[in-house]
Parts: sequence; C-alpha cells; structure tokens
Amino acid sequence: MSTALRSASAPARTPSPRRGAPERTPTPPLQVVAPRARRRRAGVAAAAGLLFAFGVMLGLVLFQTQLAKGQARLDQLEREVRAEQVRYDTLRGEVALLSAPGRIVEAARAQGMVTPTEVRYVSATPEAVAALVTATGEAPGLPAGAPDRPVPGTSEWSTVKPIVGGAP
Amino acid sequence: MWRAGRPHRRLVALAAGTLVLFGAMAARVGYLQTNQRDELASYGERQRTSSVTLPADRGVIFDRNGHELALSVPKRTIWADPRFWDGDQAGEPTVEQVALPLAATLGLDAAATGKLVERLTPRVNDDGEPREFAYVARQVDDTVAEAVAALEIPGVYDYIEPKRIFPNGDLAVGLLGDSVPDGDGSAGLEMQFNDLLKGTSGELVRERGSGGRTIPTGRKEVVPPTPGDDLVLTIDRTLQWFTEEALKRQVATTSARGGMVVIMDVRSGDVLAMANVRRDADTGVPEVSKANLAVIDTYEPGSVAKIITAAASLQEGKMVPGLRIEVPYGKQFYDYYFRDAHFHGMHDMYDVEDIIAHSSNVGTMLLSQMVGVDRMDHYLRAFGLGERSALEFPGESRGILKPGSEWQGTEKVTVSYGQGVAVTAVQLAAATNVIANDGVYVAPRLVRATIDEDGRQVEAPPSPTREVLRPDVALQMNSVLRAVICRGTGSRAAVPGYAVAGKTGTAYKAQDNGTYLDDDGNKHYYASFSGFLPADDPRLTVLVSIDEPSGDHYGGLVAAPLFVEVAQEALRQMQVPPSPGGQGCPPTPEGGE
Repeated sequence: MSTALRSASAPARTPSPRRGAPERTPTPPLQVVAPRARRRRAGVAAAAGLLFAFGVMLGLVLFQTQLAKGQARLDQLEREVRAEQVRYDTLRGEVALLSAPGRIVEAARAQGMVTPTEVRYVSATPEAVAALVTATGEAPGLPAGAPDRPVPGTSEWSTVKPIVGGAP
Repeated sequence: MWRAGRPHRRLVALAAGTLVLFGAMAARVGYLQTNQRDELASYGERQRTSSVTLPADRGVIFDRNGHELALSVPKRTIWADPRFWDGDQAGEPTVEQVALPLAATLGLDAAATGKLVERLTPRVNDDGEPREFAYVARQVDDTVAEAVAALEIPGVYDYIEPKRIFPNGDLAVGLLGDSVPDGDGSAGLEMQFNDLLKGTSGELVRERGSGGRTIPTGRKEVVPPTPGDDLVLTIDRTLQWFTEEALKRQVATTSARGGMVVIMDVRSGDVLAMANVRRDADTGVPEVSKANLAVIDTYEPGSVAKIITAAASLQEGKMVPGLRIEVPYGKQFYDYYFRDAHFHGMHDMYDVEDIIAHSSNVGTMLLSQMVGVDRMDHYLRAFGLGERSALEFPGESRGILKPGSEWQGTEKVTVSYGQGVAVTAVQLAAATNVIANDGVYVAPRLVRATIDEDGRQVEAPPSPTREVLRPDVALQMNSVLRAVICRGTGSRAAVPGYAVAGKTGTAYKAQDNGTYLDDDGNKHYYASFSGFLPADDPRLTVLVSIDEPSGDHYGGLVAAPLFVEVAQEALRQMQVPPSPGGQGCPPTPEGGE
C-alpha cells in the first residue's frame, strides 16, 4: 500500500445487503473523501491541540501559582518563626533581669521584708529523711549546684537550644 | 527605491539584512559571553540573588545553678542610607533635616547630635562609591526603634541585632568581662572563651523577584549559623551577689581602698564566689571592680603565708606537734632586729600551734631556718605561689616569688611570714585550701561545664591536683589553724555552730617608691583572713583581703568579721549542716589579736 493511501481517510462504505436479501443493489464505486471533510477534521484536531496546549499552559500557570503561594506561605512562616525566636530571647532576657538577686532583695525590702539576724537550723529526724529520700529520690544535704549533679535550670535550655539556636 | 515586480531582489536584500542583523547580534553575544562574561554573570547574580548573613547566637554564661549571668537578647539597630540626602535630586532633605529629628527622638545631647550629623553626612568610600550605610543608633529598645520608624524618614531603616546583657547588673563584672557590640569578648571570661562563645555565622542565599519575594523554583541555599557554646560557671549567683554586697559594706565601714573575697569548694576547687570591690576614685563609693583583682592584683600576703612555713616544718620533720622551741619577742636575723607584733617574753616556749595562733613572726622565721631556703622555696611553689593558676584568666598574674637561690639577706626569713613575696588572692585561697583538702593542692576552677549547639552538656575536666603534704601533716595543720580561732588572732572569725580553721594576715603594702612608706612616711596594709570550714569536715575555703583599711588594720579585726558574714551565707547556700561538736574549741579560749 502506498503512503498516500495509508494517510487517506477510510473510504465510505455503502450498507451491506441483508443476509438472504433477494436483490443486490449495485455498489457505488470507491471514492476519496471530499477535501472539505478532511479540512474539518484537521481543524478539530488543531483546535484540540491548541486546547490541550492551553490546558497544559494553564496547568503550568496554576502549578506555578501554587508554588508561589506555597513559597509566600513559607516566607511568612519563616518570618513568624524568627519573630517567635526574637520574642523568646527577649522574654528570656526579661526573666533573667527580674530574677536578679539585687532586684529581688529590693522588691522584698519594699514589701517590708528584713534580713534575718540569726539562722536557726532544724534537725530532721531519720524518719523524715527516709521519707524525703523515698519521695524525691534525692539525698538531703546535696546542694543544687553540687559538682556531681547536672546543672539545674539548663535542662530546659538544652532542649530549646537546638531549635532556636541555629535556625535561620 | 524598490520597484514592484522584483520580489526576488527584495527577498535577497531582506535575507541579507537579517543575516547581518543576526550576525551582529551573534557577535555581540559572543563578545558578552567571552570578554564580559564574569562581570555580567556576577551582575546578574547580584540582581536576582540576595545573600543575608545569619548571625550566630553568642553562648550564654550560666552560674552553677543555671541562672543566666550573661546572654544576648535581640535589639534593634537603626541605620541610614546617606544617598537619600546627597542632593542629587530635587526635594531631598538636608542631612540636618534628617539628623536633628533623629537625635531628638533618640534623646541625644548636643555632642552626640554633632557626631550623628557627621556620621550621616553623605560621602564617598575609598572605592569612590557613595557610602550606603551609616549607623544611627545600635541595639536600642523596641520603643525607641518604633519612635524612629514613626518619623517616616526615607532612607532610615532598622534591623535586629543581638545585644549582650548582664541581667544582674555589675555582679561579677570583673570576672565575666564584657563584649563589644559586634559580639567579640573584650575582657574577662567573655574574652578568654570568645572562640567558644561566639559560634559561627551562617548565610542565606536566595533568588528573589520583584518586591524581594523569594522565587519559588529559584536557588535557595541556607548555611545555618552554629550557635556558640554556653559556659556553666562554678560561681553561685546568689552567693556572689551577697559576697559583693557584704564586701562593699566592709570596705565602706573600714574606709578601705578596696577588697577581695574568694570562696572555694574544698574538694573540687570550684570557685563559688570571686568578689572584687574598689572605691570609686571620684565618688569615693565602693563599687564592684571591672577588673578581676583577685587574679590580676598582687600583694604581700603577710601572716597568712605562715601556714606554709608551719606546714613545711611539720612535713620536713623539723617540728612535731607539742615540741616547743624558745621564741623570743625580738631577735636578730641577718642585719635586722625583728620583733613580734605583740609583746611576749624573751624566753617563751612555743610549739607550732602557739607560733601560728599568736602569729609570731620570730617563731615563724625560726621555723623557716629549720626548713632551709631551698625547701622553703619548694613548699611555697608547691602551695601554688609564683605560678599562674589553672584558671588562665586574661591578665592573670603569677605573683612575685624569686627563686630561693636569689633570696638576699633578711629576705631569706621574711618570706616565711609573707613579706618579700607577692600573691594573688586566688593563689592564697588555693594555698589555704591545701590544708583543708588533706594536703592535696587542687587548682581553682571557674568553668564547670559547657553546653554545645545541640544542647548537650559537657562537663569540664576536674581540676588538676597534686599532693603537697602528707594527710597526717594536713590534719596537724588543721588543728593548728583551729587554734588560731579558738585562742589566737582569729577569734573574730568564729562562726556559730561551725568549727573554723584559718589564719589572719596583716601585711605591709609596698608603695610605688619601692618601700613600705608612702611619701608622707605612712604605712599601708593589706588585712586578710583565710580559712576553711567546717574544720571537722571541710567544705568551703574562704579568703578575705581588705586593701588599705583605715584605723584598725589587723586582719583579725578587719577581715575576720567579713569572713564570718560571707561564710555563713556560703554555708546556707551550699546547705552545709553545722558541725556536730559546734565550734570545737576548748572551754576556755584565750582569744585575742
């Protein structure tokens, strides 16, 4: 079969005669589909192609828009994270200022508190010590900052530091 | 003119023209891609990419209980682009029209306003480009920054910058030091541990579109900053504050020039408090010194050094407890006739405890002669004198201790009672601590741990130690030093409920003219008390030194009361229970300075 024939539209066929029909009408000769119909189909294909291309482009635009929206949201979230980090650091500084011994003593004195003139030690009974050890799991008499104990107050910071310390 | 009907020529001409045009374009592109490639590429890169330095958070300095002593908090820094008022366009303001409202909002005085005008005046940089950046005010509060923003001056902006704050005011300022606005430590621990604290800056590189928005599919590279490590000190914030306040009061009470207090944990060598107070030269008010005098200032320790001489005599077997020798009130040594500070008989028989309890210079010199110059030199150094401590603090002094072979004349005996040798307060505290720590020298330590960028706490190595005395000798010295409080010159250092051991010291202070007399012929003193408690189970070593007290100048009168005050607070803070046997003194103490 030649290339020209392969690319041509299929030839129109006349209805086949019914089985058992007594007479056969003469079959019209084969003919090439009219150029007008071919043009219409090409137009439809082109339109479909354009529509497809438009759809693809629209999809790309929509995808790009979604990306842009996502990036904008990301930027916004990063700004919010930075703002919260700043707030954390600011509040931390304020807590440190408020807990300074000098300020606390001043505030205590303003409320009428006085420094004790003497210190009286109360001895705990062995039973009380045992109860304390049972309840807290800590031996009495060890100061908070004793060398063999972790530094209190920094455990929370140890958790927070990797989060707030190095993030952009 | 082209004539109709010759389309071929026109087409050829059009093709030729197009070819020439494309050829020209290709040549231009080729030129740009070769000769100017790098320049244009970087220009394009600059246009669409933004690079922002991400500053690393400087590490926090904590006290031993996790309280912040120094930390960085975000502040706003206001800056300006002077090109906005360089006069190249009509209607631009003058520099004064910009600077004066800013100065008023910032509350600047006339001098500072003048400097601001100078800073904001447009000028060109060394490379000939107009200057684009000038600081208006650094690290200001939000309220100030917002007030400036409300002025709505074009070309004035702000950004967030960390500022180092010391939330406890001047607490331990000499120890902590300071840092410059750009973040590097400039003094004290801030400088010593700057590399550890400062961290590493990061960088954010991104492609940006109009309006500065990030291009979603563009390049975005983030090198996150590495925050600095945190320092956990051995200092106890509350005890440090209390000690400084008490020292200021004592300096004021005794009209002294200043003073120092060092409190150490006996076993670990941890410095729990290191207070430095100096009277302000202008106001005369005692203030916490910006210099860590306890490690950089040297002075002659006076009789506190007798601890070393007495210990050496016992360690060397030259003396034993209870062995008495004749200690006259006065005696000739080399070319000088020495007398004790307190009169006693010329044929009194003293043992080591008597010599130390009564702080006999003559008796101590006799002990040192028994020990000998070389061994005295050895023991002074073994107790940590003449060498920098393990603190490695910036500007730390090693003190003054000549080799024994260079001691001349009376110097061979005066070093035994602390004249002719100079020490730092921390050296003297560590030396006393040898007795408390069963004869083992433990180097003082200021840093207990670090916290890395991942929040992991890394304990600092224990302080180096070395055995100086046998434990039995340390125990004998413990008893000797308890006698100082029970019946000797340190009676005012007694702490109710606790057994105390220690030694008073009253030393002449060397003057700038190289003698012990000032230009008016007056002597000046360093009054000290160095001791430890509870003596029956030592936990804390405390040194108090008062610089140039007026009136009473004996260590037992000037320094001992402050020792009691700060020791009591230290015992409370460290939760040290009272001694089972109370003060542990015999029923009829003699007492006296």
